[in-house]
Amino acid sequence: MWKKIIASLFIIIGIFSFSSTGYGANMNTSSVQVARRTDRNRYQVTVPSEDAIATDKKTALISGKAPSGTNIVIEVYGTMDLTGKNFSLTNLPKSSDYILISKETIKAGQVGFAKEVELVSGINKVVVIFRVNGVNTVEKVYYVYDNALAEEAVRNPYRIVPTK
Amino acid sequence: MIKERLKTFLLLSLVCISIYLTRQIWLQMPYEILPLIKKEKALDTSYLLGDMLEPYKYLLNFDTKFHTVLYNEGEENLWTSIQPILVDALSSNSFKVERLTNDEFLTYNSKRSIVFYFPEKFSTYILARSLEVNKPNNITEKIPDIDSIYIYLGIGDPFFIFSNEDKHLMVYDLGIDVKELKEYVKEIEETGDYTYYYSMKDTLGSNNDIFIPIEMSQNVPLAYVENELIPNNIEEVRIIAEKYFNKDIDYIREIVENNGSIIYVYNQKVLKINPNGLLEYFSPLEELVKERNLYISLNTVADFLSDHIGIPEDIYLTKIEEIEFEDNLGYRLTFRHKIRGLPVIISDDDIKDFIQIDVFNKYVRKYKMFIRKDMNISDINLAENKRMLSAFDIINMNPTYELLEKRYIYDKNLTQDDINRETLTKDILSSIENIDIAYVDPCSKDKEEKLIGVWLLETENRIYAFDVYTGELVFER
Repeated sequence: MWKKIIASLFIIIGIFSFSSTGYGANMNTSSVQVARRTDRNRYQVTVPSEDAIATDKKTALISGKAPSGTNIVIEVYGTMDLTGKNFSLTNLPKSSDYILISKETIKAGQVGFAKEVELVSGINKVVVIFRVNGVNTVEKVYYVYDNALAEEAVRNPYRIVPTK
Repeated sequence: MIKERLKTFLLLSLVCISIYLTRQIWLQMPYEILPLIKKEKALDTSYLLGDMLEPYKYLLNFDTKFHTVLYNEGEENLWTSIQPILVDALSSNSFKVERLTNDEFLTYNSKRSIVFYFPEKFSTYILARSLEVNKPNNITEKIPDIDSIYIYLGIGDPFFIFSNEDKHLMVYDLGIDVKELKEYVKEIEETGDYTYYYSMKDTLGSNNDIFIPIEMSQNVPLAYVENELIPNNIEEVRIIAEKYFNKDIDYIREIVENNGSIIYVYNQKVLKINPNGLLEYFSPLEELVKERNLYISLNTVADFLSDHIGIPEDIYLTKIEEIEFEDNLGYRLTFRHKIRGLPVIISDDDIKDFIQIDVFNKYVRKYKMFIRKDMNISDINLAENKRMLSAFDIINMNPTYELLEKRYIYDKNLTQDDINRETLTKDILSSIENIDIAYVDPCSKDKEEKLIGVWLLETENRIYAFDVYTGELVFER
């Protein structure tokens, strides 16, 4: 009889101690942190909201959300298209045509991250890499046009056509 | 006959001249017999009144995404350029108006335009009068007070939007020409030598309509100041006393207090020069002032400042408060000054402001002045080597954000259960009502005082000043 009681007590204590460990784990275990890390909604590029942008400014703002302390690499690629006539948003360069213009690592703060990047004339690709496993890289394409060329294009649309 | 008439005319002229001159010397007339002369005098100082009611910053909207904020109009003379157009708008008899909601107004910031921000809401009528519009139209009645003026510079006809907080009045069909202003904005845009400001709503998802820089194109200039008034120089102080009382120093009573303050007394008027360079002046009211008039009061102050400190440069009116003293009704006007184009804030609570005047229509009862001047030290070795932080950098820093969060939770009386972690950051960012760059004057030295460049963050209840290079909290009010 005593053996049965003692065995039952051990089982009960075991069950209680097991379940309390379970509550603690809900807040702190590394498995949940991994789950959080992979919560992709916490890693976003909110500006620009579009994937392809045409602009006459050679400065662009990249901003978004990421947990404080996240390392973010921002790479800017341009093309050797000095005239700005070879590529357009409808005729994008191949991966091999891009050359790295700048690369900078920033750290997300309490309200997210933001960085102004310098662009070059023609097609630019801005790549935002979150240094976190399982989070996708974000790419934005900019076409920086020259106002004078744009006006010329309006006057004579057949003169400025993509050559590739 | 003609000779007799001429004699009579000459005699009358002589009598009139003698009355006028006698009045100048001895008589105090019970009523104004020469209103034209008074009017001429008022017009003489109106340029100063116009100078007082100046915007302190300008928002240039280039397009939907790109904006910049300027504090010093400098060579661009934006405010000077807009004045003739503003005069046309406030005196025109042919125009149309439309009231805009706040949300409608905010959409206009994405169009090419300039917004002139005043440090305080001003009477539209007084602004019109300060621009020498003698008979302002009924825009002054439709929107009696304004704190900002928007002017559209995009394609199509230009128009104004006069605003006072959330009230907006669009005025169009004015037939005004803004070609010169458009050229100025184009020139500024083409130089590219400015910091881009972005809408906080679009960039950080907050629910407010202010603009924030992400990266600074240039540093805040290093500036050193010194007291304009040196109390130790007794000769200079006596000259000032003579100027205030318009009497020779021999007729003025001089008292030197133990703490080093010098007091001058003449005919119930008192001038006190404090050891820290603060000047205080008291004058009794000559009559009971039962009705306050801001236009007369501003003109009185304009006269007073012209007489006592000349034409004040880089001084602008920041606050107008209604005050009462022994049944007399008046105003307390507070002025700030700018150094190298940026507003200067005093961190010393005893001094508070650079110029403060209690005025009761024609009479100045109390005047406090603490003027500091730029020492114009332009030594390259003194230039800051560090990169200046933007307002975004400051807010994004852990200590700043934690402070803002702590104060927000305290001010809103939020318990742990009330706090929604998902929206807290957005709520904190939305609580920021204004972001400005300025200098803080610690007022700890008479000369070679280094001004601290700060970002001023204004929320509903507080003002924070953060060092532009370190992000450290300089003061909180």
